[in-house]
Order: sequence, then structure tokens, then C-alpha cells
Amino acid sequence: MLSTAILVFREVLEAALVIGLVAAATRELNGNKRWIAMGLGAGILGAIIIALLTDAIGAAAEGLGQELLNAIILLAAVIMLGWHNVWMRKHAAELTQHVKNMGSKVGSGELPLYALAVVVGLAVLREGAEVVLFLYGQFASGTSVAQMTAGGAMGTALGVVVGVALYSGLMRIPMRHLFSVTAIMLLVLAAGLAAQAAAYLVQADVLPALGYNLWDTSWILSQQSVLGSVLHTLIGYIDRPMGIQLVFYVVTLLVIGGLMRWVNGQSAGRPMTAAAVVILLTFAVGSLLTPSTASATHKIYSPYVELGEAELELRGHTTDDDDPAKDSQEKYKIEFGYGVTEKWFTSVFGEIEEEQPDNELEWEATAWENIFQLTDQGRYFVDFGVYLEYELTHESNTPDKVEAKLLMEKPTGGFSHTMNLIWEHEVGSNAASGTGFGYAWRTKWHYNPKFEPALEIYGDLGKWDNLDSRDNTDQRAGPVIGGEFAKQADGSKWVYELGYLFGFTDAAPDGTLKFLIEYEFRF
Amino acid sequence: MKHSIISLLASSILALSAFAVQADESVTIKIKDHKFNPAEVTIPANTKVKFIIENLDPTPEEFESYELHREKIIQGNSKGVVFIGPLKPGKYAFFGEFNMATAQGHIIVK
Repeated sequence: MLSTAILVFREVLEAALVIGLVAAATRELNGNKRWIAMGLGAGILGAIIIALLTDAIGAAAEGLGQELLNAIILLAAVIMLGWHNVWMRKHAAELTQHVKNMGSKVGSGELPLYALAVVVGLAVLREGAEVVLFLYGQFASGTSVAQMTAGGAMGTALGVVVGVALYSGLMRIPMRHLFSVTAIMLLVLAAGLAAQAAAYLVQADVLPALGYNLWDTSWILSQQSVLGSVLHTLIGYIDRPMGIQLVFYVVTLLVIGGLMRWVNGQSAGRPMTAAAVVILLTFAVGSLLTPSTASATHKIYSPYVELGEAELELRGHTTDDDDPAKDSQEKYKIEFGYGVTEKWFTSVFGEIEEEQPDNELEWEATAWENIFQLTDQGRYFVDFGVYLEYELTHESNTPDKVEAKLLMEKPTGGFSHTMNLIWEHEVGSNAASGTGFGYAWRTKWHYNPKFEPALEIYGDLGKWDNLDSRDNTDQRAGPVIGGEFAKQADGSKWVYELGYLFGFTDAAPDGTLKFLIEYEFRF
Repeated sequence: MKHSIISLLASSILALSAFAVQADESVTIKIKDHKFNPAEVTIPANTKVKFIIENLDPTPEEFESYELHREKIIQGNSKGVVFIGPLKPGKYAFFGEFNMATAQGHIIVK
């Protein structure tokens, strides 16, 4: 009986917390109870149907039906929560005004209460299906109905108590703060559900884990404890999270949070900016500390394109290491590019390389690169662009290469932070299977246009679907200075960069000296 | 914001298309009388392994692990597949959520 009570409690707890929160969030909205009851009813019915169909669902999608269904249910709830929050934010002022002035509830006319009813339904459905299957198992293995009923009732009652406790706690919040407090709670609830969905997608082998056990706080607060479970549901607490879960969590917060500000006519606010920077940095540093071999050349791309700007560039690096295999590797690139439109920069470059010391420098490859600016500079809290490159090799029996990068940049005060996520794929003869994945990060201080110090970090994380252990990967970071000189009235100028990157792993050379010299002009 | 969502989607689609299932090794674990057999499995580090969980009991079980982030319901007299790894060396516990008193096991990664 006790085991029944415990399991039922754990499952009911999650659904009860969601209902408690939704009920509080909608307490000033007319008809909220009816919608929640409908969600609950539909959820219970759905749970029974899902339980009956377990075999069929499990067999679907080549045995991954269960994982995919769970992920879809969770993501649907995330979208509904997002929609509700954005809608509420858009109408927050009038709603609060209405309740204050009229002293009555807001009519349910245009309110999207069904969004939260769907969230309630989905929560009940997911947790309920497990309870149904468990009880069926108990029944089939001979546990008496009386014991099961007693255990189930006890578990349910306990779960409901916690849900009610949350509700009454939230009821104490003064009306004027109600919408903003519950909006934040629904936002983190959505982020937590998205992180749970990520786990199912990793299990279904649709997404890479990006590292297991990013941290382990199970010794402080186990996810299996009651408080751990409550926090897991409410704020998405995970004691041993995977990297991808953190990414889903953060992206959900930023996307819903960003939309909420946007509908409210606010621009990118400081808190959001700070959050974006901290989180991207966490991701970069996290990758540096966990698994990770290196981006072929060490340049960081900004997502910005300028119409009519032409540039002629020479860049290169040479390495230093006790191991002769990694010492004095030289690589140079000569590039000519042009901003064809306001959003498209295209260029052609040649790559010259000396892989082993005392070998000749050879013209290795010619490549076509393109940068597309996706968002207007400064319009959103992060500026986005995409980089696409095709590299044609000149050596026989060597594959060509396709490279794609997601470019992100965020200015804050006197600094700008740039992150590139890099995917590389070989094609043609002797191409390696799989897609390489890496990143690059730069934080630059705009001290003076002629002198801008920066910190740059580069990491190759191995194969996209099978990240290497840290020792096998190439991780480099170090200081880089850059700036412009000899600027003319017609806008033409010279740009320089000089940096030294330290290797942090065995696979990386101890040191890499890099330089860049560029002439920019307009025509 | 609209553009950033599109770019996020574009990057994830790009990422997904490059991602393929590959598992070289497979391990079968049987569930009988609410116990795992074998209850201890050793697998190599940094390798993706296919686990086939065969439930020989007539009742459903849920294969679950907090450390591995795996959760899969397996009906009575049927089997399910769970991919695990690539993992770092260590010991990872799993359990059957519907019969936690007896259904306990762990994976050792070397």
C-alpha cells in the first residue's frame, strides 16, 4: 500500500502543482474554474487512453514512439504557456485596471483560458498514464483492490495537499502583483518542461546530450526527494543536468521572455541582455570545461554585413609545441570579399598551409564564403547571422569541406560579445563520416578604435553526435589585440589583429600565434 | 525576435540533419519477478550502446535512471530499446519505477 501511495503521490504531485499554479494565475479571470475542470477531465480521460495504447505507442516510430510523444506533449505545454504569458503581458495593464476599477472579475470573452486548460490537461495526461499503468500492474500481480484504493487515495490526497498549499500561498499575493508573479512562475515552469522534453529527445536519439552531468547537486538536494520533485516541476530543477537541457531551458526563457517584452513595446531590457550574455558565456565556458579539436583557422565572425564594403585580407597562424608534430604548423589565408547587399557579404579565399615543419608551403584549397545578416543590428537582444562556406581542395584524395556557422553578437556597454557555433562536414573522396562541431567566443573591449583588447576562446567538440572526451579535443584561448589605422576620409582603412592562444588540452599545441592584416575600402 | 527564432530553428534543423543514429554494441537486460538480470552491466566509455530491455513479467515496468536521464515504460511480456551513452567512466544507477523495492541495477562504464 505504501509503495502505491508513494508512486501515486509523486505523479499526482506534478499535476497538482501545475493546477495550483494555473488556478492562482487565472484567479481574477471569469470562468477559470470551469476551464481548469475541463482540462482536468480531459487529462484523466486522455491518460486512460494513452495507457491502453501503450503498446501501439511504444511500437510507433521504430520503437521511439513513447519518447517522441512525451517530448511533443511537453513542448505543446511549453507553447501554450508561452502563448498565455505573451497574451497576458499584452493586456496586463487593462486587466489590472479592470479588476481595480470594477472590483469584479474580468470577463472570459476573449481570454485564451483554453491555453492554460490545455496545459492542465497535458500535465494530468502525462502523469496520469503512468499511474494507470502502475495500478494495472499492481492489480495484475495480485495486490488487493482495497489496498490499491487506499494507497492511491493516500497518494492523491498528499499530492493535492501540496498543490493546494501552493495555491493558497499564491492567493496571498496582492492583486497588483499577481499577474507579474504568476507570469514569472509560468515562464520558469515552461523552461523546466522544455528541459524535460530535451531529455526525451536525447533518449530518442534525436538530439545530442552535449555532456552528461553538467553538475551534480544530488548530494545537496536529490531530485527524488519531495522538495526536489516540487522544484523539478516548478522551476525545472535537475540535480544532474545534460548540456542540452540547459540550452533548452535558457532558450525557452529567452524566447518567451523576449516575446513578452516585445509585445509590451519594450526594447531589449538590461536584465534580458545580462541573462543572454551570462548564459552564452556559461555555455562557452561549460563546453571548454567538459568535452571538446579545433576550428581550422582562428577567426571570429560578427553577424554584420555592410553594403558596398570591400576587403582584402591576409591572416594566418603558426604554432609552438615541444612535440614536433604540433610545432611550427603554419597556415595562411588570403581573402577578397564584398558586401553585395545590406544583408549578404560574399568572398573567395585561398588557403596556404605547411602542415609539417620544413615542408613547403602549399596552396591547399580555395573556398567560397558567405555571411548573411539575419537581424538588424541592435533590434533584438542578440544579433544573428549565418555563415556558409564551401572549400574546394587542391590535393588529391583529400575531401572537400562544407562549413556552417551560427553567428551571434551582443554589445553591452563598452564591450561586445561574439559567439560562433561551427558545424563542419567533409564531402568527396576519403570524407570522414559525421559532422564536426565546435565553437568560438570573443569578448572585446572597445577601448579605442585603434586599440581594442579582446579575449578569444576556440574549441572543437569532436563529432556533433558523439562528442569527444576533453583530452582528445583541441581547446585554445588567449588575448588578442586589434584595431584600425591610417583611416582616410573616403572610409578606407587598415585593420590589424595580433594574438596568442594557449592550448588547454593535450591535442592542442601549447601556443598559437595569430595575426590578421586587412585593407577595407568602398566602391 | 521573429528572425532569431527562425535562425534558431534553422540551426537546429541543420544540426538534426547532420545527426545519425549509430550504436555498435548492444546489451540485453531481462526483467523477471520485478528484478533486472543482469543487474550489473559493464560497457565501454565514450560509446553509444543499445540496451534492449525485455520484460518477461506480465505487468508493465518503467525503466528509469536519473543519472542517465532515461525513462521508458515497457509493457508486460514485451521489450523496449533504450540507447545509452557515450558516457564517461563511472557507475550509473537505474531502477524500475513500478517496483522500486526489487528492481534495482547499475551500469559500470570503463
